[in-house]
Amino acid sequence: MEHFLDMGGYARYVWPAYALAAAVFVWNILSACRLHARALERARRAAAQSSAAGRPS
Amino acid sequence: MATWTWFHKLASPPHLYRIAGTLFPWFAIPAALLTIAGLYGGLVMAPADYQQSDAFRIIYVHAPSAWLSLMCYVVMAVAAAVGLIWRMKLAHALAAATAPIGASFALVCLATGSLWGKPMWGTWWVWDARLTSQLIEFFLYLGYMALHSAFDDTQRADRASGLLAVVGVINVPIIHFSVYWWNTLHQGSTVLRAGGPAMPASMLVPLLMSFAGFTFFYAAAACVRLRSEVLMRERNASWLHDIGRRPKVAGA
Repeated sequence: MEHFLDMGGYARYVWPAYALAAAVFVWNILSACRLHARALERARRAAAQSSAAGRPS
Repeated sequence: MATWTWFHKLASPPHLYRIAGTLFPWFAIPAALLTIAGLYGGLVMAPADYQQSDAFRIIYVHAPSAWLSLMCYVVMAVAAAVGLIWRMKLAHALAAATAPIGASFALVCLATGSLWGKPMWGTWWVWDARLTSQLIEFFLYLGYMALHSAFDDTQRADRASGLLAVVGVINVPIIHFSVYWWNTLHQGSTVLRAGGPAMPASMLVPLLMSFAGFTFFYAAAACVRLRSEVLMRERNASWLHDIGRRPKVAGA
């Protein structure tokens, strides 16, 4: 295990590379979900407004 | 005729919204499985390189990120061109959905390349053809996104930033061939080279899985972003109100 973590002495290059890749994967998932949630919220608000005005546009 | 029906259907916002939602799990599940398997294979199963020892394992995140940043750029530029030529606003939506994903992986490519360059070349950065052209690509993504957000009117934003995306596509072949056209510090292609891949199967298989996993990940992320772009561009359409009225729509 220690040998694996040491990465042949290159641990301080290999692990940050993988950590950054993981962070970017997580960022992509979170930001896409947030964007979609925001877009849905806006759609819902627009729907509420138009039904309050009595016209489904 | 029939072959064009699907294309016309894609130009219809409710259709595209639904198709992207249906396709999402078919991209997301292979993305998770292949990426995890590929990176596990690269970190654990593959033998150490005879020259670069374990430092070469950076390739399993670096090369797929580089591939994805180039592929995203081509997708973005082609979508923008379709949007500009045929005035297809949903093509612009795809371009806008693709840009942040491509930019994020261009950043991974640059940073992991730097982390690989330090132990192997003795420097974090050199202004050689491959590195410089890849950096320019990252800036093109940022330029596209900045230009797109600079306009309040979505159509004008699409047109201006789409033009930038199309012009910038000239950079893609420059990046790919830079290692052959100029004398660069960067090594040549490992997989896409004359004479076949320069790797044994134990190293190559995880790399190919990683390539496939990253590509599926793009497709999954693009589905979610594309649906959001469609929603925001179709704010006042009546089909949208049906979606808006449903109480729980996250998985719709």
